[in-house]
Amino acid sequence: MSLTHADVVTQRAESSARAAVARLLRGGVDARPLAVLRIVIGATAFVRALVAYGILERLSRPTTIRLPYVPWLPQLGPAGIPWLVALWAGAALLFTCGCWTRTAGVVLAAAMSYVLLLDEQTYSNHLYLLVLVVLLLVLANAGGALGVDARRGRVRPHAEAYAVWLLRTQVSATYAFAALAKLNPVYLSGATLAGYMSADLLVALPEAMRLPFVLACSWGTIALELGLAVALWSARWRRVAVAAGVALHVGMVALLPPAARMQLAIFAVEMVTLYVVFFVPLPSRAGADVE
Amino acid sequence: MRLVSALLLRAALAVGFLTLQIVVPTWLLFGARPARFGWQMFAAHTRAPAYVVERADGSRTLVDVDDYFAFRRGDLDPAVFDRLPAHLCALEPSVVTVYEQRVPQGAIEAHACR
Repeated sequence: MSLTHADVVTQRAESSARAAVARLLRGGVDARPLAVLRIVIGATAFVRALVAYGILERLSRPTTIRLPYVPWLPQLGPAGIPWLVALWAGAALLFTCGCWTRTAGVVLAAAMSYVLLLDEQTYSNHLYLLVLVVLLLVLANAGGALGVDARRGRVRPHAEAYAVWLLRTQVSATYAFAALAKLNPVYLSGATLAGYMSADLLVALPEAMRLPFVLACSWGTIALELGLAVALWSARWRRVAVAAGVALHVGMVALLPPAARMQLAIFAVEMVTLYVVFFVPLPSRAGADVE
Repeated sequence: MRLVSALLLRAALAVGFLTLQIVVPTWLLFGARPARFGWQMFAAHTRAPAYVVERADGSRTLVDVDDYFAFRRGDLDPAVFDRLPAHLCALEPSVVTVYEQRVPQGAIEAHACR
């Protein structure tokens, strides 16, 4: 049976794709950028533990309504809250310092996952993102540089390429789905974002400017998020994308209500720091960097 | 053999993460907003209803909803507020009725405490 030109092209593409996947699964990359990411994410997780303490303390008050997210999950009594937060904060510190990095990362992710699933009021998207990023940094061997484990020679000195690639897809997925979920009539009308925006800000604008401003922010956010999901992968557009991403997150912190600012700032730090993974060269066929 | 096992484990972990990153959020896009674990940040906004409690002595008090939440997310499931009247009744035995207005200028619903 003779092969057509299309068959040959398809076979070559499949073979090339398999080889690329194999290179990603086997390959190692410079551990230092991942270590920097580990330090920032660990410190962010530490700060988030303090935020969680406040929320959990209010959740334990008898006047607070309980909205269990996972009914079978054991509920935490008031006496257990300081212990959980101490475990979380301690694991975050060890992870930041790169000391017993893998164990600390798994414990940190477990503590944050428990809080994430505990109640509807303790769930947040940036906490979910922290859990996934910490686990991916564990897989990436982010303790391979700039930490106690690396100094004592307890870990391999390189990071895992496949986990770096997964960190990239995490960033893109977060932006892409955030944009796609906003493609609904209510959001596109500006009503959703107007509901979130700081009331003082809207009142300060001339009345004729309010709707155009809210619509520009609503539609602009979708365009920016979709653009970031794609542009960060392109060497040509990456620096522009980083600037646009920083502007998006700073804008969110500035425009949205003060009560949500701390959590938005944590999300901003997570996302902007994650941009570093797009600057880590991945292994390519010729030994050169993949772009 | 050990190398193959390690590669298979990495491939399985990668598939697991890609499922969380792409398959789950794609599935959730076809459901109601906002869905958890779908990266649907600020895609929907839930307005809290207004509540007034009436006590046995006839006195009425406007309720500050935030006093009863640990952290009231802007995108809480609206169904959450179905549970608040019963919670207010349970907290204070002197409350006989909870009045609820879901939207401004909308109908007022009376929930009698049992």
